Parts: sequence; structure tokens; C-alpha cells
Amino acid sequence: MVFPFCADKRYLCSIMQINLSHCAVGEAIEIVSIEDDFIATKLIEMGVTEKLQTKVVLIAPLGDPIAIDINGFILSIRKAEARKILVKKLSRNQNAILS
Amino acid sequence: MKVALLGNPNTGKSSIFNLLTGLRQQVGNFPGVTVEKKSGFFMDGKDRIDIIDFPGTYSLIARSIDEAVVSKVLEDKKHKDYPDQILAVVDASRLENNLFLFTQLYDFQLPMVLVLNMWDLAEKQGIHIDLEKLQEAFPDISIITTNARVGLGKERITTALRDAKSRNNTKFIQPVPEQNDELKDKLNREIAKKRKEKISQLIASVQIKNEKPERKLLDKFFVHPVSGYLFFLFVLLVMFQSIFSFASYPMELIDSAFGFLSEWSSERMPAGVLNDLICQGIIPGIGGVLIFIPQIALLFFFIGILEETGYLSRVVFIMDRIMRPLGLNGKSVVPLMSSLACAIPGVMSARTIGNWKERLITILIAPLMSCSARIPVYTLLIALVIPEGYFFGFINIQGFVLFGLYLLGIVGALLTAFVLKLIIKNKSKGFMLLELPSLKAPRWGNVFYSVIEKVKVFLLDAGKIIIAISILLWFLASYGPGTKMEDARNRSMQSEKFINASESDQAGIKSAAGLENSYIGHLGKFIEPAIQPLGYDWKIGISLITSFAAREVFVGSISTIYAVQADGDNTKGLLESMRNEKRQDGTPTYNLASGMSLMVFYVFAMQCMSTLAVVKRETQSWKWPIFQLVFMGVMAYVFSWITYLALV
Repeated sequence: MVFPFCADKRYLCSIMQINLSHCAVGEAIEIVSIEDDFIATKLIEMGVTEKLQTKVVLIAPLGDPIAIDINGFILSIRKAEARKILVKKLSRNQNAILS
Repeated sequence: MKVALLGNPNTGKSSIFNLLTGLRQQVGNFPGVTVEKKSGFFMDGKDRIDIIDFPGTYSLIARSIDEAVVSKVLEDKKHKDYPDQILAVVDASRLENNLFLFTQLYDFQLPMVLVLNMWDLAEKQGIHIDLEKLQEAFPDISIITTNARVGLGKERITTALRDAKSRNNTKFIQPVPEQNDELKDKLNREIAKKRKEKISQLIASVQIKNEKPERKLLDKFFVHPVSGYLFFLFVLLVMFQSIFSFASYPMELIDSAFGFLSEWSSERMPAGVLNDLICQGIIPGIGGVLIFIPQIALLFFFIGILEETGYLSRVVFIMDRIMRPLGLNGKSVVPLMSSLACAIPGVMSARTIGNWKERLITILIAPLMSCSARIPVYTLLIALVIPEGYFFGFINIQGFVLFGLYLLGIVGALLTAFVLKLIIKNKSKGFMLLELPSLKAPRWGNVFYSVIEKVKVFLLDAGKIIIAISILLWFLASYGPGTKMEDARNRSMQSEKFINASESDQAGIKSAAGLENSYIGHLGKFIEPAIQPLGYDWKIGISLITSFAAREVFVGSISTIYAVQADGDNTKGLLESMRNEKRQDGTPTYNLASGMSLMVFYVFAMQCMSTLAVVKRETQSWKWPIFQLVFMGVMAYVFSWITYLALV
């Protein structure tokens, strides 16, 4: 599914915050904030915290769920939850530090 | 001494449990909840150490009933399972993530042993943990390292448990006063955040990580839109082919062994009620339970391998989005798959689903998947009413009908799920955070123990009910109101047919006459008007009722009714007498219309007391099993009626 505004969003991604559900595989990102208190608690328990640097490693065939890498541990998250996770894309420089 | 074994999922907790207890394991339930309790013991010199293996969890703030039991037991000092010590297992290669639950447990102030499992794996990945510094952070507990996967560390755990340190009231996080429900989520989040930050600081000082582990390419293959689904289909195919082909031999063996045992003991015991009860009620009842073991064992052997390797969570990952519009969950795939063998382990395996609504729908539709108990019914009726031959020269017609019946069950299950999704109200938040553990070779010991455990659960829980129902059915079939049965038997002995028949046929004619006048015969006649529109007579009615014990009883009771010996798989004698069976107007009872209608009835009807009992236990009320009985009954009636009308 390609929405006309999708390309814009990708562009905005590099300069402002987007949610995790819009990130492509392999993009280096940093988690900025998580909306829902209950979901946030569950995510913290599994290692997903604010300021965590991560990337999407797998996307299921129908685009949902997605899986992110937390220090070598792979966590699958449904898109509904991913939408509550605001992230920012890391620039190339930071990307280089990550990998 | 009672020891609680606690830890995150995928930390090798069950390897440690198996290492410590071996075969001295038991499966039961935590009091008041349906969560399975695995316990075992070992001897340390003269002391008996009891270990309770709690469900794996990431935190004490529960998200499924499985996880809720952990905090329930630990917060209640009077609880029957309240431990004297905690044995906490963490994966050394993932220390930072695993410390979350550990530090929560640490604050309970119980004597504690921290096991850093998978020590070798951590070293291989270039992770170095400074044990002295870790000990400084948690001074009043013992910390040891193990490699349970290869069987290393039993001695170290035993010693640590024996020399348990007493706690000096050190806490990782200071407790905060309780809050009302509105603020609870916010408070939990704040505490979790504080805990996590403290853990990160600790990790920075105790752990050095040299390199990042490489991601395996295999995952790309397993979740690929084409290869992922194809591989999953292939795995299913191999699984069911093996279950059906390998299980049939031990099943036949059990079947004939119990048939022989019945005959043998009936000849050697004095005739009478006790003889009948034992040889016609109890022994066949036990046989009817044991016959399911090969299939259950094989199914859980395969599921065990899929779980152990970590592949199962990839299946959940690729199936989740497909199952969700139906009100199901990626995790529903396993219970539904299991139900193709038997709905009982299927319903039991739905416990891993955290969301109450998704779990309930999975449980409710599981019995619609055609289980193996329907196979004898399907094969008998197909042989009876479907002609042999081929479509287009290569598709076997009989095989095609069998495939169609399975498909009908699956489609029916999924459509029902969709309807139930609209009806049932949701009780809990729907979310799924699932760990995809690294792929590895299975630990055969763990697979073996999980097979033993599942078989035990089946024998203890479902077995009791199946035996009880068999005895009840035996009673209903052996006795009738007043002297009607005896009279009918005597009358049959004077008939011309009886006098001309051979000796073995004579016994059959006699018992058929008796059955017609037994309680169950009366029941069959009572329901005849209701089932006539579907094309059935009272004899089929009896078989429908007796099928409540187990569906395959259909074949046995129909053969008793037609007074022939069903000799194992050789149903020729039975087939012939069924073919010759005529209605009052002289047309055959079993034609394409009534045969197909009967098969469709078996696809949908909830004819299994054992499943109902398990559903009652899993949902904690009679409401859902009764609902299930009714909606499946209505589906069966309506669809077989339509089938009959369409074909007649």
C-alpha cells in the first residue's frame, strides 16, 4: 500500500519525530517517548526505554507486526503499539557510531 | 524446603528444572486458578528440596493469568506454595534485560540464589560479567554460574541452596505506597523507569561487551512473504503426516490389546454384573483413554521441537496479522493446530494467549477443527456412501471428500471466530509484545520432559472423565426400564433369524434386541423425531448420544446395534450390514444424502464430554462450555439439514 503522503512522511522523518510504525528496516532510530503508561511499563520491562537507540530488523509479510533489535534481543511489536512509540531518525554520523 | 524457580522466558529455566529434578516431576494446578503448576523434588543428603517451576515472566506486573500467579503466591505468606527460598534464573548473555524481574524478586526479602545461566554463550558472544561487582550490588544472596543446557551446575545450585544467606533488608528500589486504579499505570511506569535506570547504571559497571552478536540470515527466510509461509506449510504437512502415520501402529496395538483383555478377563471371571462392569465398562473405558496417548505424545514432541528451536515465535510473528481480523492472535495458531489431533491439548495450550477475549475465542472454536477421533467416523461413512474412483483420472474421490470435511471444519472455525469477535465483549487490553529468541538446536531432554508432562495432564484430567462417561454409557446400554430388555432378548431367541444364525451371530442378535430396549435405546427413539429431517433413524440417534464419550465410539455402538463384530480396522462385516440396512419404505438408510449429512453433523457437533470438561476448567465457569455445546449443536443441525435437503 502506497499512500501519496508517505514519501513526505519519510522526508519529515529525518528532521522531526515520527512513530515507530513508519520506519523502514535497517533505519537507525532513537526512541523519544511512549504515549500509553501501561504499554510503556510493559515495554520498559522488556528493555524498550526512552533514549534507546535501535532499528527495525524484521517486518512481517503483511506489514504488521514489526520487530526491533534491543541489544541483540529481538522484540516483536504490533503496529498498534508501535504507533504509540515516538522515535527520531538518527543522522548518518550517529548511524556510523551505532554500527 | 520449598524453592520457587523463577525467571524470564527463554532463560533455560526449564533446563534447570529438569537438571535438578529429572523424572521426579508432577503437574498440578495452583489453588484457585487454572494455571499449570510444575513441581518436582530432589534429595540433598537427607533433606528433601521441593522445586516449584513458575511460569516464565518478564515482570511481576502481570499481563496474562499465567504470569499473575507469580505475584499472587509471593505476596501471600499464607499461600500453600509460598517458598522458603527463591531460585532466580537469568540468561547471562542478556543480563540487562533479565535483571528487571530479578530485582523485583530481590525486594521480597526471601533468601535467594541468582543463577547466571548460559554462561558459555555469554562468553562466546564476548560478554564479560564482573561477578565480584555484581555480588557487591546484591550482598545478601548467593550468585552462581551454570550451563544447564549441557547439564553443568547442579552441584553448584544444590550447595548454594544449602548455604542460603539470610537477608539483611537490602532493597534495590524503595517501596512506594499503593495507589488507586487511576494512578496505578502511571505509578507503575515511574517505578519501572526508575528500576530500569538503576539497572543500566549497574550494568555499566559490571558488564563489558566486546562485540555485537550477528543477526542470522535464517530469520529473513522464516518471515519472508513467500518462503516463510511455504516453510510453515511444509512443517505442518510433515507434522500431520507423521502423527497420522506413526501413531496408527501403537493405536491399533492398544486397541487390540484392550479388546483381548476384555475378552480374556470376561472368560475368567464369574458371570454377573461385576464381570460386565469391568469387561464392558471399565476396561474399554481405560482403553479409550490410552488410545489417545500416541497422538498426544507425537503432537507435543513436534510442538516441543518447534518451541525449543525458537521457530514457533516466528510462526506467531507471520500469522498474527492474518489471525487478528478474526478476533484471534498469532499465538492461536498452535492451539488450533493441536486441535487437529485432539481439542483437549489444544484448549490447554491456549493459556499462553494474554488477551482474555482472544484466548476465549480460540478455546471456543478449537473443537471445530476436525480432531483424530472423527477419522474413524469419516472413513467408515466415506467407505459407505462415496463411490471409489477418480476425478480427472488422478484425484481420489474418497480422499477428496475427506479433505473437504477437514476444510469445512477449518473454514467453519474461522467464520465462527469472526462472529464471536463481534459478540464477545473485551475485558483486557489487546497487545502483544513477543520475544523472538535466537534460533538454536533443540534440547532433546526438554522436549522429552514436555511430552511426558502433557501425557500426564491428559491422563489425569481428561482420563477420569472419559472413564466415568464410559461407565455411565455402559450402564445406560446394559439396563433398561423394568423387564423390557430381558423380554426383548427372549423374544429375539425365538425368531426365525436367530435359529438359522451361527453361534457368534446369535449373541449379536440377542444383544441388539437388548440394546433397543435399554435406557439408551429409549433415548434414541425419543430423539428420533428431531433427527428425522436430517435423514437419521433412532439407531443412528443412539450412536449420536454415545458419541459424547468420544466421537469414534460411533463406530463401536453402530456395530453393536447392527450386531456385528467390528474387527479392528476391518470394517467389512459392518460395512455390509450397514449397506443392507433399510428404512421402513425399503430404501437404504445410508445413501449419499444421509451419509453426507451425518458427516457434516460430526464436523460441527460438540460431541465430546472431555473437551467440555477441559473448557469448563480453563474458563472457570460452566457458561462457556454450555454456550459452546449449544452453538456447535445448532451449527451441526442446520448444516446437516441443508446438506440432506440438497442431496436427497
